Formats: sequence, C-alpha cells, structure tokens
Amino acid sequence: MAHLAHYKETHPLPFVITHYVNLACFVLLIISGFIIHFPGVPLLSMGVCRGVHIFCGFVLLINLVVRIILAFVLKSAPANGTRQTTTDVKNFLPSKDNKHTMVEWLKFYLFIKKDHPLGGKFNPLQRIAYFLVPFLVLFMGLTGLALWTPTAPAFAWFINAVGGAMSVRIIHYIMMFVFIVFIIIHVYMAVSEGGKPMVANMFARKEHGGLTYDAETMDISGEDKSV
Amino acid sequence: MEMEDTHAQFMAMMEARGVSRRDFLKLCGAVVAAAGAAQLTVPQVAQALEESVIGAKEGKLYPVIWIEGASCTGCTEAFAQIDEPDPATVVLEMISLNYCETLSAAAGYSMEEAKEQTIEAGNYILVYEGAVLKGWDGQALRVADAPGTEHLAAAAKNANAVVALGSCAVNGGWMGATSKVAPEVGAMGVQKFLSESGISTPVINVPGCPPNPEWLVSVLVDVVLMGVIPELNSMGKPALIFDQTIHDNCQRRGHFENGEFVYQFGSEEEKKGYCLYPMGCRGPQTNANCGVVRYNHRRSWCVESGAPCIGCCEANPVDSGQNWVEVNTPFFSRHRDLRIGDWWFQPETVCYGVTAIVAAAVVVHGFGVKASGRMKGKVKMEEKREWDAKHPDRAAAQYGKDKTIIEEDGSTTTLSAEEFQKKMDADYEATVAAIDAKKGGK
Repeated sequence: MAHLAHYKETHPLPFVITHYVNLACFVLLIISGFIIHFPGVPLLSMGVCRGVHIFCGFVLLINLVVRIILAFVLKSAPANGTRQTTTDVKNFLPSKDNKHTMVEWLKFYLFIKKDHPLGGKFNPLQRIAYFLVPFLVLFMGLTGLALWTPTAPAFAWFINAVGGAMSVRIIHYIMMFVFIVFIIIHVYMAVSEGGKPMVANMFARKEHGGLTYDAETMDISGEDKSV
Repeated sequence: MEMEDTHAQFMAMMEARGVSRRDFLKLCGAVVAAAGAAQLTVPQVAQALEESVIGAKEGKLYPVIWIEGASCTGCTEAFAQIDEPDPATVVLEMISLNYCETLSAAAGYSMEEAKEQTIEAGNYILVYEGAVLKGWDGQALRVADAPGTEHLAAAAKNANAVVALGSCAVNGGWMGATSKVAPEVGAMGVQKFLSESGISTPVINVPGCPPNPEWLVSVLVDVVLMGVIPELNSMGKPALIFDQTIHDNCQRRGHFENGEFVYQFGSEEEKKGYCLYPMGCRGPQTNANCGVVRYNHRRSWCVESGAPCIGCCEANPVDSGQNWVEVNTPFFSRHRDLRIGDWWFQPETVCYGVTAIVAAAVVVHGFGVKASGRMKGKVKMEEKREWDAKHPDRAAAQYGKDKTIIEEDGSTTTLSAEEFQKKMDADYEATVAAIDAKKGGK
C-alpha cells in the first residue's frame, strides 16, 4: 500500500458540485466556442451556440465566485488520508506540508525519483496551477464580456488597452487553448496519479482505504483498511 | 418675411441646378441621418443649408484647408466622385476650399500664398488626409520646400477644428503598418502628432479607407452650420457614427444567427447572400454605421455587394499598433497574423501546435507510467521528505511517532515507526512480486 486513503473530507460535497459545474461549463464552452470561431455544424446554429456560450460563461463566472467564497467559509482536509480539516483556501496556498518538495515532485514525475513524495492534498505544482485558474477564468470572462458587448463604454478601456477587438478575440482564443492544455494535463494526472480511487472519490464520493496522514505531525500515521 | 425671401432665393438657385424641392428635402433628411443627430431636425438643417448657400453667394464662405499628408488621395477621390447634387456638393458649395492639392485648379506659389493668407485670417477648418510622417525630421514627406509636419503644425494651430480624414490620418493606416521602412518614416495620426507638438486644436477623427463622404458631410454640417463640434467618443470619433458595430446593422445578420454562411466565393451560399463571417468578415469587431448610411448615394456598401468587411475603420488615434491594416491582415482569415521576427503566423498554428505537443508529451509520459508500474502499485511512499531527511534539525514535520493500523473490522493495532516501515517494505515487495507473477515473471 503506497497511496494515501481517500476520504470524503478531501473533497466535501459543495466542492464536488462546483467541480461538476466547471466540467459541464468548460465542455459546453469549448464546443460552442469552436463553432462560434468557425461555424458549420448542422443544427447548431450561431444563435444556439452563442446562447449556450454566453449562458455557460455567466454560470462559470458565478460558480467561480461561489467557489471562492466557499473556499474561505468551508473546511476540507489538508491532505489525503486524513479526516482532519482546515479552511479550504489554505490548500491553494503554500503550506508547511509541501515545503521543499517541488523539485522532488518534478523528479518523481520525470521518473528520476522512485519513491512517492510525501505532502499535502495538492502538491506545489498543483497549487500553482489551481491558484492561477481563478485568475485565468476571470480574465477569460473579461475578454468574453468585451467581445459580447464590443461597443459598451464599460469595456472600451480594456479593448483599447490590449490593442483593439481583434486582439481581444485572439486572446480569448489562445486562452481557450490554455484551458484545453490545462484540462488535458489535469485529466491525465488525475487518472494516472490518482487512479480509480481518486476519481471515484471526486465524482461518486466513494471512500477508499490506504495510508493515513496526520496533519499535526505532517507524517504518515498508519494505515486504514476499514473502508 | 426675411425667411421666405431666403427660401425663394435658395429654391431658385437649386432649380437652376436641376434640384427639385423634393430632392432638397430628401437631402436634408440624409444629412440628419448621416449626422444621426438627435438634436438636429430636418427643418433646422434645411434652414441652415439655405442660409449657408445664400451666404456663400454673398461671399461669406467658411474657409477650408485640405492638406494631403502621406496619402493615396483615395479619401479625396471618394469625396469628389459625385455625379449628381447630393449632400457633398452642397457642402462643397457652402465651404470655400481655399487650398487642396488635388482639387484646386491653381498650383505652386500662388496656392501656397492662398493657404498662408487663410491661416493668417483664421476661423477655418483643416481637413488633413493621409498619415503624418515624422521620419527624418519630417523630411520623409516634403511639400512646397518644407517638411509635411511643418505644414500640418502651421495650419492646425489657427484652425477651429482639424478633421483627420481617413484611417491614415487617424493613426497612420497603411503607412503605419509593419514594413521594412515603417520604423524610418515614423507614420502616425494627426491627433498624436498635434498632442506631441503641443497644439490643442480639437481633432475630429473620421476613419475609413476611404471614409464615407457622408460622414465628412455630417461633420461639416455640425461644425460649419451648427457651429458645434459633434459629440466624440473616447477615440475622438463622432460617437453617433462610430459607436456601433458593422455587425449590429448588417443586412446579413439574420443569416449569421441562423447559421447560414458562405464558405467559398462562387458557391451556392454566396448566391443566396448568406453571411460572410467564415470568409473573415470583420463586421463584429469594426465600429461604423456603413450598413445604415451605405456608400455612393446609399446605393450599396461592401457587405451588400458581396465582400466581407475588412475593418477599415479600426483606428486608435493614440496607438499606431491598433492600425486597421496591422490588426486585420490577412483579410480573409478569421484572425490577424502574429509575428515573431520575420515569421508570420495565424494564432491557430501556434495553438494547435502547442496543444499537439502537450498531448504527445502526455502520451509518452503515459507509456513511462505504464512501464514503471506505478499505477498498479509498484511505488513506495517515501519515509521522510528528502529535504527533511537531509536537514533533520530543521524539518517541520515530526517523524518517528507510533503508527496505528485500522483493520477491516475496525479494531486497531499500534506499531512503532520502525516496525511499520518494515511492514510497508514487505507489502511493497509482495505487490511487486504479485505484479511480476501476473506478467509471467520478469
């Protein structure tokens, strides 16, 4: 047994729901976005795609705001394999659990280091990625709103600052690929590193036994075979 | 009584030119539409036009100086190609074009003298067409034995207003677009040049390549007849003309919403007049009222005649980089080209390229993970963090505490750290042996 246990405390229900909403929005936004970029899919007219795109865009932004507020309000486990909880936002900031482990994680992923590094729920690379996502989504939302209402005085400053509506369009387009690349890596890592127990925990809220972790001592505290 | 006099006199003049009362009122309506002004009404404009034409006859013309910068004279051509009396001719009759390189009959010394006299007298409008070239101390454009920039500065200083006519005059246009010589000639718009030179004359930016003559007419009606500067937006363009997108007023917009598009010129879809968006139409990001005003006496305009909008009205007066040629070429692609050194590419190329590389890297890594057997359990949890192991005195974590094993039935066993580690190692060996046995030995 080399993996930490997966408990519900790792991903409390509200965060599972916001994650579902993100998933649905991103899939719909990317599909409708491609069609808006270059239309030509029968039955999916521009009107339908723009409607879906704008609706999902707003849902994604509202979901982001809700998720950020919840991160400060709700508690979740700071690591896999523990039922202890801390304020959720701490999982996205540097922590003592992860001190000096970034290089170890890189080495582990590149097959230079053999043993699985010890650390918090998200490793330093994940924390960087997940910390950036809200800002990317907000920026994406700003470019999206500017494209949606290109003549609104509220966005004139932004459109001019980046060099015109064409630049906004290109930024919006490139940002989509940033999200696509993020999703490719995210899904791949979740499946290859987390495996079935992690995916089942995230989506179906199934618990899975494994090593346990103590958030106080920041060390393995034993093993749980009961779930 | 006086009013009626003017009116009769004016109508006589118009009739002499073959313009009926009906034509004249249509024209006034067009001016109001072109100006788009809510505060203007047709009778007001009619009266103003009548008075100005009468005034013109009495020698009270409003002087206009029209200077060509680095231009192709296309804007002049667009304004001058008039085959019947329309707003433009009326405007030409209500102003005194004291200096215009293209249209004036005279040339040389006497012309320059006329210009100087007009500047000295003041109370005139300057129309500037083409880019301002600052390169080589203004010598990149030399007219009448002086740098072009000097002509502009001198004429702008005394003017009531400067109309920057055409996208080149707004921010450099074609002259400002990237090329080998662009950095040397230093093309820029009138507004930027004047603010750099410390001249505070108000600038009215009228972009377009060429700008619709009716836009200039509406500006002149405002400035000359109404005596006001039209309401300008944040880019110094008349707000009523340039605060809407081509897309919003496009006659093909219905096809856009329905998903009916032209994908190739000469196709069945093109015959049906479908939306030109996939052909690279810049309508959604170009601000102008072309679809409402249309060109050539409101006969037609680019999109109506079957060409996608190429965004010729995109021009930010203070940013030469937001130049319509720069941001819209190649015209028939969805995006502009980006550039790194001499490499020009569509954003799509890089986006798909990078995504493909990432996807390929993920596949390769996947084979690595499979070969390592990590997913199946051929991996150990490290005993201590590597840094902590090397710096035991500075480690934040406390290792070596007793470990608790929770069995399947819920009972617990406690082991010391060393015993637990031995058990972990044994578990690992067993897992590896089981995996290798499944594979048929290794």
